[in-house]
Amino acid sequence: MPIDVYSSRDKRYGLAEQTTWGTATADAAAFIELDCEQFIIPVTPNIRESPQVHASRMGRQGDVQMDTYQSLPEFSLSMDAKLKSVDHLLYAFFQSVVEVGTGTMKKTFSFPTTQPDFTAASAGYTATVIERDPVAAHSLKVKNCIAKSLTLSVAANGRAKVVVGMVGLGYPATSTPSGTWTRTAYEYLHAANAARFRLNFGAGMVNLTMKSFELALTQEVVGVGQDGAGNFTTYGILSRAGTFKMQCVKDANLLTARTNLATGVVVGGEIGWGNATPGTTDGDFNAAFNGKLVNAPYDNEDLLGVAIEGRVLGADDGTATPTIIMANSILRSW
Amino acid sequence: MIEIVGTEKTSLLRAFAAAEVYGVSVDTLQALKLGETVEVDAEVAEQLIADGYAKEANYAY
Repeated sequence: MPIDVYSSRDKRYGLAEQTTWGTATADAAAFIELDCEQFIIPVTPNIRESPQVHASRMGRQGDVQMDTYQSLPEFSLSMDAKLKSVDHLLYAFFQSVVEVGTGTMKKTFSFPTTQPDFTAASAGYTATVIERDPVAAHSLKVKNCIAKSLTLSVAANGRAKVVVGMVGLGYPATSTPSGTWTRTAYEYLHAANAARFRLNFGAGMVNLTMKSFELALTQEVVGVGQDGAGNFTTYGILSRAGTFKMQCVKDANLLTARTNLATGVVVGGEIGWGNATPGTTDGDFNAAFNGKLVNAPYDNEDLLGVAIEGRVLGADDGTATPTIIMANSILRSW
Repeated sequence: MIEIVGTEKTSLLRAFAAAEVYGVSVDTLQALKLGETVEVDAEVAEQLIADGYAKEANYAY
C-alpha cells in the first residue's frame, strides 16, 4: 500500500455566508478562499464518565461514553485584512451593519443595542467555514459560525491584520468541497498609507506617530435552548468589551496621556485609511472608538515611545460604541 | 401605503434575507437601515412594526 504524504500546506480554508440558519452552505457552493494562517477545526466530543461501581478497580469500556451534543466548536482566523472580504468577518462579529447599496457600498459596523434573532430568517449573519483536506471526504465543515472576538492590529511597517475568534453551532461535519473557491483581490491596508492615527484627549483630534496599533473587541457567546436534535437552538451574546493599544513615538502627548490617565478623561481614538469622510472612496477603512486610558508607560523598544492603553467604552447613554466604516464597492445586500 | 422609519433594532436586519420575509425590496430595507423614511404597503408596515424593526413616521412615541 503506498504511503500518501501530504504537507500541512496542502490544506485550504474557505468561508461562505450562510443564507439559512441551521443549514450549512452546500459543498458545491462557492466559497471565499481565505488567505489565513493554518488553524484546526476541533473535533472534540463530550466525554461522559458514569459514576459506576461494579466490582472492577479498572475503569470499564461502558464507563466512558461520548456524544456530540451542544457542540460549540471554536477556532481562530488570522490573516491580513483584505478589503474585499474582511467585511464578512466584521459582520460576523458586530452582527449589525448599515450598507449603502450604491456607489462605494459603504458599510458601517457597530454594536447593536441587543442582538439578532439568529433563528429568524430576517436577521443575523452566520457563515459556514471549511477546513479543506486534500482528500475527498476528509474535510471538516462548521455551520452557524459567528465571531466572538475581533482584533485589528497594525505595525508601523506592516499591513493591518485581523484575528477573529469564531464559534460554530453544531458538531463539525465531514465535507467534500466541490464548488468554486475564489481568493479575493490583493487589496490591503498598509500602515504607510494610514491617513489617520490619532486620539482626541478632549480638545480635538491629535495626530500621533505610529509604532503599532491594536483594537481588541470581544463578546461573550453562549448556547441557548435545545433544538430537539442535540444542539443549542441559538446563541446568546451576553456582554461586550474592548481594549485599545496605541504605541506611539514619544512627543508632548505623553504628558497629556498621563494627565488623562490620572483624571479619567474620556478619549476618542481612530485609525483610518482613505477619505476623511470614511466610505466616500472605494478602499476607505476607518475604526473609531471611545474609552478611557488605563496605562501610558514609556515604550523603550527602539524609538523612545509611549504605549497608550485603554478600555473601549460606550457612552453612558449606550451610544458611541466602536464603529468600523469601510467601502469595498461590493454590494452584499446587507 | 404607510411611511415608516427605523428603530434601534433595524440595523440587525440582513436586508436580502429580510426582503424575502417581509415582501419588500432590498433597497427599501437598506434605506430604512440608513435612517430614511420609506413608504411601504400597510401589511408590510404592520409586520415590521410588530417585529420592532420600524415605527410609523411622524408618530409621537
